[in-house]
Amino acid sequence: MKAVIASPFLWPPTQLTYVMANELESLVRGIGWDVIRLQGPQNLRVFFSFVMNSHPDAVLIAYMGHAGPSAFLGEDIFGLGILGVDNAGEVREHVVVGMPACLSAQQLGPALVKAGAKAFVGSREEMYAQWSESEHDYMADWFDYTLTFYKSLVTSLTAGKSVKESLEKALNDYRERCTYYEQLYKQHIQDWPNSDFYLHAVKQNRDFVVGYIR
Amino acid sequence: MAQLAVTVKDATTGAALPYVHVEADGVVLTTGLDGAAIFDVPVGSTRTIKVRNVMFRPWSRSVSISSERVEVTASMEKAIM
Repeated sequence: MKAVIASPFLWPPTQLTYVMANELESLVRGIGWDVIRLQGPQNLRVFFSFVMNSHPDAVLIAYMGHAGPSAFLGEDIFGLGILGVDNAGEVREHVVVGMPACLSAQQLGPALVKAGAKAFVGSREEMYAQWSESEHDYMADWFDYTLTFYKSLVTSLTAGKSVKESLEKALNDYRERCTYYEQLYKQHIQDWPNSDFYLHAVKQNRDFVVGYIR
Repeated sequence: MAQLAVTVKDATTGAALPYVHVEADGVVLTTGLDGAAIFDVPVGSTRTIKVRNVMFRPWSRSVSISSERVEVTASMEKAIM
């Protein structure tokens, strides 16, 4: 099986999601999949279209970067982006995940599924990055709960489970992991000086992620 | 008393950030159009500053008030994708 992982780099905080994408690539390869990467400056529409035309057998399209309600923006954050409602047909028959990415479940997700994507997962609101702070490595937590989703999804698809079943399990696993960190940050609200912000971040990253299935 | 002046800027653009929540040991101010929040604090004390805006990475520091005016700049990194 094969995944396309698109990871822009230029606009903060995509330097962090780029590193997360490296870990996702290792994870997915470890499960036995092939991976096609769209690296940093390759996250322009022309490259994305080329990759989609060249790899119609890709099961999963994973995007980690800036997004708006109607597009994954890639490096073209003031333009149309790499995948928008206007070229939704390019991901027909694929499972598309925009995570971490802001807002894409508002218009892009429904448009992709309507145009023939097998499924879409993304957030209806902004998604937050997390950093390593002096008192705690919140970035490791963020990587952990996000990659929990992808690991669960890829493992289930590899085992032959349906897209619907795989997606539902992955979302449940993701939300459970987010809730674990929510509880951890609540426990340390007095002694971890930045836990107030990250408590908000992990709740938002959990509560607005939704899945659409064709 | 001394003045603790906290100036909040966008780390990417360098622009001052108005209307940002700045807390110094439980006392909360909002930055003005110049991105500044100014606290009156005792000389010789230590204050824990927290700068919070929902769009940016949290910024927290402890600052010793060693003179009659202490200036601190909080450079805020974008936190949303």
